[in-house]
Amino acid sequence: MADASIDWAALYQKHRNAMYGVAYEVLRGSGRVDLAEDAVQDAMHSLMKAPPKEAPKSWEALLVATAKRRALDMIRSAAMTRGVGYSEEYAPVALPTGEDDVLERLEKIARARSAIARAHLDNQESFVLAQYIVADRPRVDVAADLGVTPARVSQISTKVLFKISVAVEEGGTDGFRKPGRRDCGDP
Amino acid sequence: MVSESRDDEIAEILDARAGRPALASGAELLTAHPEIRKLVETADLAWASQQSAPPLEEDPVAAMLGLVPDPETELDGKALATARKQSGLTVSGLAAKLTVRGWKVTSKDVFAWETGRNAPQMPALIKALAEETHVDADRLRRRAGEDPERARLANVVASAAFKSLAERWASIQGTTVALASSALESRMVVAVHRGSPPEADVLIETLEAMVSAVESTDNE
Repeated sequence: MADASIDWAALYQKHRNAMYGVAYEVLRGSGRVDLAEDAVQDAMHSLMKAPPKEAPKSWEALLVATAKRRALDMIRSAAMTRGVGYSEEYAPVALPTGEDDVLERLEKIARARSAIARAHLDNQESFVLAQYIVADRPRVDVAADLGVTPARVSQISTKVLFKISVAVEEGGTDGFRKPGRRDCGDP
Repeated sequence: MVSESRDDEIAEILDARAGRPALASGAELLTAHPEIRKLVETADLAWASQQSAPPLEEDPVAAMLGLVPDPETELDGKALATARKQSGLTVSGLAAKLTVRGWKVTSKDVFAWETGRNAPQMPALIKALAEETHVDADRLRRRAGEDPERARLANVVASAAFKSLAERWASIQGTTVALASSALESRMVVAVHRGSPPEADVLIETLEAMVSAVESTDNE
């Protein structure tokens, strides 16, 4: 039964990026990011069907943790279908699914996003980040696009990762959420 | 910084991902070399940081919840202003209520909507506005682009009186009837958006007075 006092549309619009992000990350462990849409959809259906009796500490944490649990269910189900043990599936961020843990992970991801913006990457480095590290395109193709050797792409890639790693550790810029902080504007 | 061989080792791990996390491959190397593990973790984190939800138009949940803009329907700004005043809310009060519900809305947004700018087409937002102003959502909706003032002007432009005035104005200005008609229409738009919108017959009378005034000046 949908609770009319909760504006699900507003909440979903506000937090859907985080829901998808966590679902993608969990499902990537078993190479099934294509199931993220189903995981998010199931999460919303279950929440709307059985909304929390009291306002949660953070709607974002509740929505994202629910999406994460649904994504995990899908990994388990896919593992059973293939006849492999769940433990054989690789899901480094799959557990735990507590709301504070989810917020902590979101905080870390937000920190990385901000770090990339602050890492002062040049055009070549930005290209390697986007095409090789994020889009997972073959290194030889990326090298050909840049007109360099694959070994040079390796060097650039390590340099980019090093810069981002340093920027993440330095942290402390705008836009970071504190884990467990109540969402501004949460009903 | 890491050595060249480390560059190769990290690249091998990244090459072996095949749609999976980098941490899922190269387990032995990652255990033996914490500095490589750290960079590989950074690769996974960088990947995660660049993911986002699909566009609203392609998101089935967004469609189900009324977040996909309906190009056929939009918020009726005047109806919203009336409903807001009747419910005793200020512009900032309404914006605050929407913010509490989870919408990212400022007083500036509400003011813009009420004055006919940036009319939202998102059914869920129109529904939220209707709930906060205690009116039926259908009262706050109108067909997109169906500004009542524009519709009223279209009726005036289609009238015989306006066409006659356009011909006279074309003759005075030495231009085509179409251009004269366009000029007179622009003159009416200014009148409509200045203070209370005048009735159709008043608009024609105003144009008649203007055309006559210029005609008599020319005759002199």
